[in-house]
Amino acid sequence: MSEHAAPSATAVEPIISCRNVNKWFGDFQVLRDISVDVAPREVVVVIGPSGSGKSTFIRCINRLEEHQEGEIIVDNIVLGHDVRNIAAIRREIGMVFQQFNLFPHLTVLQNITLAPQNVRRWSKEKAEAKARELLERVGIPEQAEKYPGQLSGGQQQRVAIARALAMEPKIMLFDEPTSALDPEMIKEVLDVMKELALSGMTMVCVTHEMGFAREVADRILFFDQGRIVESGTPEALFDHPQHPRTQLFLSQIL
Amino acid sequence: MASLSEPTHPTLVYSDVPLRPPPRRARGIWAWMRANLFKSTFDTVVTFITTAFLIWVISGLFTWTITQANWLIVTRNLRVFMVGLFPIDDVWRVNLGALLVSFAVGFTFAAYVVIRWRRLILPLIVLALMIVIPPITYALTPPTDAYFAAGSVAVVSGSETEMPQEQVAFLGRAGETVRVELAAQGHSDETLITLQGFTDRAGAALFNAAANRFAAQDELASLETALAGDLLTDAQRADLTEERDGLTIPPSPSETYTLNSTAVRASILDGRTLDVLATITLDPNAEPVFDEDGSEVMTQVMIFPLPADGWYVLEKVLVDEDAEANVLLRTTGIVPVLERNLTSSDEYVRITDDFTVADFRPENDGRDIPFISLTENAYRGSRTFADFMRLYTAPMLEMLARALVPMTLLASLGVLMQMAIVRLRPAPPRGASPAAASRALVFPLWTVVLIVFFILIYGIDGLTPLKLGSLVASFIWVGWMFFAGMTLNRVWGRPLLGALLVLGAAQIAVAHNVTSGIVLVDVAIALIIWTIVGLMAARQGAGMRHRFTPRQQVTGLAISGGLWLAAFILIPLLAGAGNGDDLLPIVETRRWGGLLLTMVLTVVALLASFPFGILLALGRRSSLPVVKWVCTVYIELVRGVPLITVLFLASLLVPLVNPALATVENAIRAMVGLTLFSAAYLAENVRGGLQSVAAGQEEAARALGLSSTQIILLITLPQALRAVIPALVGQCIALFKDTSLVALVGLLDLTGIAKAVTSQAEFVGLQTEAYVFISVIYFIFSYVMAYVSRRIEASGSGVVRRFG
Repeated sequence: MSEHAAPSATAVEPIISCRNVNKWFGDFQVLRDISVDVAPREVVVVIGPSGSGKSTFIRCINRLEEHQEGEIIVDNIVLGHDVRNIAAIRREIGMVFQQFNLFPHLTVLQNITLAPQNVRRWSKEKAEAKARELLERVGIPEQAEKYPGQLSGGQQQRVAIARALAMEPKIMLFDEPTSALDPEMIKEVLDVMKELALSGMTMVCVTHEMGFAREVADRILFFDQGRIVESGTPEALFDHPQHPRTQLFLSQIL
Repeated sequence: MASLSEPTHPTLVYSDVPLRPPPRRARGIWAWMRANLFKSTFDTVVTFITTAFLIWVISGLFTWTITQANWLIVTRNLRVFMVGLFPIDDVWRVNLGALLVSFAVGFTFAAYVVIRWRRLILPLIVLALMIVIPPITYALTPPTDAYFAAGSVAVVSGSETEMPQEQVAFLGRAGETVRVELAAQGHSDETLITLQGFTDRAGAALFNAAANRFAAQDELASLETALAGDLLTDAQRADLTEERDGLTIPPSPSETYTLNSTAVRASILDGRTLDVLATITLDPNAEPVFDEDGSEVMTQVMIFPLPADGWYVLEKVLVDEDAEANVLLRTTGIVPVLERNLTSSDEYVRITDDFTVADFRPENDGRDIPFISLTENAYRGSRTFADFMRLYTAPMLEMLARALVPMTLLASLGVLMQMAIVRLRPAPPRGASPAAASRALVFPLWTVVLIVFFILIYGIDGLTPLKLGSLVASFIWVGWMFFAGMTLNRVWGRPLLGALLVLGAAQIAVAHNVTSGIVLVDVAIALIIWTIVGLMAARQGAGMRHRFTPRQQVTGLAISGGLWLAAFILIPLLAGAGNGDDLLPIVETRRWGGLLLTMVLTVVALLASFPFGILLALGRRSSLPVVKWVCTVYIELVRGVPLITVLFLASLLVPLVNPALATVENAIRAMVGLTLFSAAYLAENVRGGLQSVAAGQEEAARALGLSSTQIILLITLPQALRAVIPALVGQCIALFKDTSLVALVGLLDLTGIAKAVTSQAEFVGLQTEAYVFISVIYFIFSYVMAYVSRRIEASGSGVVRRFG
């Protein structure tokens, strides 16, 4: 409904800037006039009912989906049809998927070192050192030589996070990272994401984990039918939702 | 199976209901049979019917194989089946290639399969039987009989009239014994039909005459019995009587020719000079002679040990030359001879043991003396088991053993080398499987083996011993560069690498004889290629530096250097010893045939069609409409056409289209046709695999910033190919058997050779044996391929769990 200003009061250049983004799948409009700014080091959590366009929105940011109208600027690079821009943007964004999407024919270590070696042209030693350091960071250093099929869901998602972090991105996108996990394993993944947020990573996260959002998010965006219906800080949104749709949604979740 | 490697929380132990192993089913073979074969009435009935059917089929096959099959066609033509019309002097090259491949197979097998010694017992037993049965057979069975007729009367049997011959030539070895005597079977008709052995035409006529007489007598007797019955109508009686009266009983041969009633003189002559070496007068009316002890002395048998290898002549003449009689002689130690004509060389070979004498044949007054051969002297009578083992089975097993034993030895060597490498390997990286280091050698080994194999069977123009030494040294030099790359970080590392590069250039210069002053284009190309390969090896070595201790690195350097020097010096010395300047003369592809050609066609078509098929599959899924359309049209067109028409097009029409292509050899055209055909089918298989890769894989790869090419090569294709391994190997097996169609365009592959061999005069009518033999060969290779496919599927690379 209303436009949202950047949350940080200081005039920091937004690292992601979307202006009047519109997207259609065929005849069906899935994003309607989306305008959002995300400041560096900001954690934005996107919530909403299914089909509301939240996944499509974050997939547009790293060009996994093409937007037909509007403007997306990531780190001062305009996201358009220019392949070099797209490649540059993708190098700066890491993404974690709901279905993990690990490469099953490679070991965990190879999964993580694949992109740095082939895209950033790191040497094998440098990539492996970084990979082992990241595995330490996400808490599973001993799984380095295993194949993804031998790990539990929570471990796989943590490997996926490490794989995305290996490219040293400036922004991390999370598309419902814990939705496919056993309840017992959600906590270990959320812990990693919390640590990541606290360390200053810019994150845009689509999730249903309200507890996580309340703890870590700087701003919450509520999507419905392709529009940002309401946005605000977690306290503002969860405790005092303004829009009736927001109120309806929250009453069914919380 | 996603097993938790470590539990997220400690597991409790419930002590009130402890874990137990599952209840044991009733053990023992009877329990198993009861549970699986006879569980219900229906089960039992099905089991019995199927077992009875299996026994009927298998025993029928077995009986035919043992008692009726004539395996001479396989034994005497094994070389032709294996390599076709390859020049006989160069067959050693194919043998060497086969040994190298056996080594590589053993090496690969041991790298991927845990060797359980118990599993090898069955093949080893089969091999041991193959080695042991022939000598036992020769020791235990009596030599085969050969019957010859002598005399002055032409023998008439039915429509045949055969005149006994005075002389017949045969091949013999020094020390073998020839035995000649009057045939006991010649006394009467009843004994005539019991003879079993090789017979000349006149003897066969005697045999047939006796058989016909008995057949006629039997028919007469049955007609008489029929006429004696009461329940005949007049018409039937009239018919039968007419038949009986019209029946003529042929005369008794033993009476007509007064067989074995006159004396005959049998002699063995030398083949060249026709001098009489031994002679005996065989007189049926002779008195028995006794010596001092009162025991009978055998005077009616000639036992003559042959003095030397070569041709001999058996001469049989009646003592009384005017007598109108015939005599049947029985001999042992005289074996039919084949004239080899498939390779258009005049060679005479004994059928049992390949004993051969070149080119010369005994003659009498300028006319060739007929020799005992399979066409003239076929085996008559029902075959005894001993003769079957001695004449057909033992020689075949001997030939097969001669081929299989060296190959098995080399394969075992490969296995042992693999085990040695696993013992001596450098430390693998943390957590990696221990076999990974030795598996890394499999791909380079096969590359080298295949290259060497093709060099061996095609040949190199003007390969001097020095060039050969330098070629081998080049391969060793690559290994030397590998270790040099490892030591680059040392003080003397870079100078060493520089020195090695200079040496490499020098060895290429020597190989191409650049000292004559002319620098040719191919020298430059060779220089570039080898330098690139050497530098790649050095880079690889540098990457693996941390896996070897410094001492191991220096040892590796020293050993490589020593081997390189040895190759350069020793090989020219050894190979040059009297072999002249052309070690591997070129053998054109039209001389390739048999199993060799089948394997070459299969391997080349597979190696070429794989990349082509993958490109077609990717093209068909491409978003560019032109590429997609072209690939789709090609695939559908080629899949809609039978392979035989593709081969005909390639072989017959292409030269008409473009005369310049007429010089391309037929085998090459067949390879191109097979490649194009196989690529279309492969493309469809790969496309199925590509569709099975989860969409999220490509998304995740794109999100990481990988380019489209990288995504296809690193992510999509590996998963796609692993998913369709059964289909891919099935395609390989189908291609292997489809190569048999090239027989219809005139190429002599395994099937074509079988047709050619059975058209020889001595082997007409033996198609069944030839085709059974090649079917067994096709089956063995197909089974091995299917086994490899199952192993690949079962190993970790096949079981790829798609998570996410």
